[in-house]
Amino acid sequence: MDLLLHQVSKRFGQNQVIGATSIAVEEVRSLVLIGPSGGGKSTLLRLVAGLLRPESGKIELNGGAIPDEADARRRYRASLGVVFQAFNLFPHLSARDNVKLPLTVVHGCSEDDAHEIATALLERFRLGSHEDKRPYELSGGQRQRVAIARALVHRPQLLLLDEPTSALDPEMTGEVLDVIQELKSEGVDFMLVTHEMGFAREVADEIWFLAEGGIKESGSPETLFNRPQSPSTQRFLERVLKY
Amino acid sequence: MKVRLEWFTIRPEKPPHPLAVGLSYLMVFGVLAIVFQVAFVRLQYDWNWSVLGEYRTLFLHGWGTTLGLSVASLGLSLLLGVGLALAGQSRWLPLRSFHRLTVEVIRGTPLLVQILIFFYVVADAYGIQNRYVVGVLTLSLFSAAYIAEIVRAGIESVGASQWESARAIGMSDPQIYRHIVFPQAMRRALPPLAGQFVSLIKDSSLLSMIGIAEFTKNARDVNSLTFSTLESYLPLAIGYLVLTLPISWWTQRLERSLHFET
Repeated sequence: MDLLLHQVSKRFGQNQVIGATSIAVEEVRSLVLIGPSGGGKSTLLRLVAGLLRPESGKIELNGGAIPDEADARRRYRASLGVVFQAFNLFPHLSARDNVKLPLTVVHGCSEDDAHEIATALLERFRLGSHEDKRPYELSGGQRQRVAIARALVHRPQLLLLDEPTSALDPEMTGEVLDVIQELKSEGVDFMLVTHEMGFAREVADEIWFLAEGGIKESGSPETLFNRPQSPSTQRFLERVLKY
Repeated sequence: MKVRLEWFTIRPEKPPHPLAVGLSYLMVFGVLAIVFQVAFVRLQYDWNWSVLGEYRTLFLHGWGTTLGLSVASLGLSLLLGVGLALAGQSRWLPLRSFHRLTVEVIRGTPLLVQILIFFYVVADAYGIQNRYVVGVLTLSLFSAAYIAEIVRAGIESVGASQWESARAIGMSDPQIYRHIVFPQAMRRALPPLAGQFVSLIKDSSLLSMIGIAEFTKNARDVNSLTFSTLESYLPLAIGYLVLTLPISWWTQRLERSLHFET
């Protein structure tokens, strides 16, 4: 993916969440956002996902600016996949129907084709025996894997994951991280917000450290974890890697 | 065999035996029957059930009319109610004002007054001659105000995170309403909707005020012709139950099939 932010800022009421941020990366497969809570990671991810509009500045993904006009914006969102911390599956639909929905409703797929694609994808995520279950019948790890399948089913140009393991216990976290690892080896481009530092280090091509509404430091995981330059990155890493 | 009290105790781990359920209904029914039987015996009421046979066409016509009015009003009020609820969600202010004003005025005034105004003023002025049409329209509008509030509560119970993930998929607002919001709102709105539909059926009796020969009016006519009050009104109660009980059963079944936990 190529991603460019130019003077992007976002505020909620009085609260400046992202302040005039500019940065560009080219041809990275996996971009990982780390940093303290309230630092603007999730907001930045939602800005790139087209779910929030910046107050000012522009964002370009793979050479195209995020459109302003409503229909074009919707098409832009349809070209991405988003996974949320709280899974956000549709509770009235089975696992399979959750995965089918983007195909049939948004991407004009026939019922049969969607069924086939969704079934194959769930099978691959080791959810074959759970296809007909509703979300409340699944474990947290299973739910998040269904959510990842739903976000991937239409082959998005970029997958955005917002703290996908924060609501999971360590074992389920492992299940979900395995899946993300697999996606990386298959060449799916993704942007990930996470607190799992070990995983961030392993999976990232590029890491951005966000704090106080700005990108304080960016670079390869080796540099950022081994030789952090900014004092706020150093303090943060010291704290989170202490135990 | 001895009847044991614990048969009739509901335990979370074990649903009650169907026989126990049946027996329980029978006991309650029996007690109520005794209470009323005693009352009737003390009253020394002189039953005259021949009235029922004599005026059966009047009863049946009235019941049929009530059924027709109810079915028509039920469908129309659901349509109007959902439309009104959506108007209340609109981004356009006048639509919201229309929703608020309509709901408050209709819910805050007696149906009787609405029927009279619609029939003698509005319908008359706009040349609607058919009193059945006016009746169905008035009843539907009245019920729609309540349904709109029920539907609104259902729509609002679908959280922002559902909207966000549907938008992230690239769905348009109408698609989100159709595939995400309405199915979930429906599940939560069903119990109060069933209650509203039952009220609607009973409220249709007020249409006798504008000379519609529906069930209640015909039963009243039989009473004034024969002075057999109970023989006129008991069939009326049963006739309404025949209409309202299926609604309760049907919505309970629908509720179970739509079951999901959030």
